[in-house]
Amino acid sequence: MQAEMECLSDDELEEFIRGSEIVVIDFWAPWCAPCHVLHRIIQRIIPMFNCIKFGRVDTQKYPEAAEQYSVYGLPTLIIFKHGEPVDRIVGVVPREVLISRLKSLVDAS
Amino acid sequence: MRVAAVGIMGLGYGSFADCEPKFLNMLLNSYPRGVVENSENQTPKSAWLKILGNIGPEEMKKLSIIPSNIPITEPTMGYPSLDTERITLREELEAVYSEFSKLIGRGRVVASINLYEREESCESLKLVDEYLERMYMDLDSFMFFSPYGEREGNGRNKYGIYISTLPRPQEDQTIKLEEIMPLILDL
Repeated sequence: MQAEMECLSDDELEEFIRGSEIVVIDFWAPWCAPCHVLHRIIQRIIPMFNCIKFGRVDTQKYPEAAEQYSVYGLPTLIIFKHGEPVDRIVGVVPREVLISRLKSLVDAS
Repeated sequence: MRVAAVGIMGLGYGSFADCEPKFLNMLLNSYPRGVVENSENQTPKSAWLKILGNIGPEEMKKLSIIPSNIPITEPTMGYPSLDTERITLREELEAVYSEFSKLIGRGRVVASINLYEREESCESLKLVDEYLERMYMDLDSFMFFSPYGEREGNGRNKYGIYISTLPRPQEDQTIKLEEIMPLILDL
C-alpha cells in the first residue's frame, strides 16, 4: 500500500503516469499555501484508494512538467486513467469532494 | 495604528486540513498569505533568535517593539513573562491575550505562542483559533505566522504559515526567518 506521495521529477513523470490504471498527480510549489492544505487532504485519503497511485511534482523545480500539462494555477490535481488525463481539479477542494471524484473513477473502471 | 505579529510555534497548513480552524481558514481566504520555510531552527528559542537577529532589548525600544512571551529567556521575555514549563497552552494564551489588550496601540506587539507544539491537537488549534480571533478584533495590521510546522517523524515539518495584512515580499518564494522582522517593521 502507498503510504506517502511519491515526489517526481519531470523525467520520472511519464513513466509514473503509465505505471498504473489510475494515477493522481499533485502539481504544487513550496510557496503556495493552499498546496500544503491540499497535500494533507491527499495524504489522509491515500489509504482509502489502494488501486490509485499518487505522486507530486514541485513546479518550481520542474516548470516544464507544469507547462506540458498546462498547469496555470496551483495547486492543480490531474487524474490520469490509462495514461491519459481524465479529470482536473484546481485549488483546494473538500476531502469529500475529492473522495467522490476518485470513487466515481474507480467504480467506472 | 494597532499593530501586532504573533508567532505560533509548530502550526502548519496541514492542520488547517485536519482540524478546519474556522477563523484561520477565513483569514487564509481573505488576506495575503504565504509559507515560511525553515529546516534549521525548529525550536521556539532557536527560531526566535534567528528572527530577532541582532535586535536586543535596547533596539526593540527604539523600534517600538513590545515583546510578549518571547522564548529566548527563561522565563520568557516581555509582557507577559512566563515559565512555560509550568503552565498549559490555555493559560499561556490567556496570559498573552490579557497583556496584549493592554499593550496594543503603544507599539508593535511581537508575541509568541510557545505551547501549541507541546499540546498539538485539533482541540488545541481550536483554542489558538479563538484567541487569534480575539486579537485580530483589536488590530489594524497583523501578521500571524509560524517558523515551522507540525510534528513529522522525529522533527518538525519545515513549512510554517504566514497570513498578514502585508503581502509576502516575493510572490513565488517562501519566506525565510531572517525576512520576518523586516516584514514586522513594515506592518
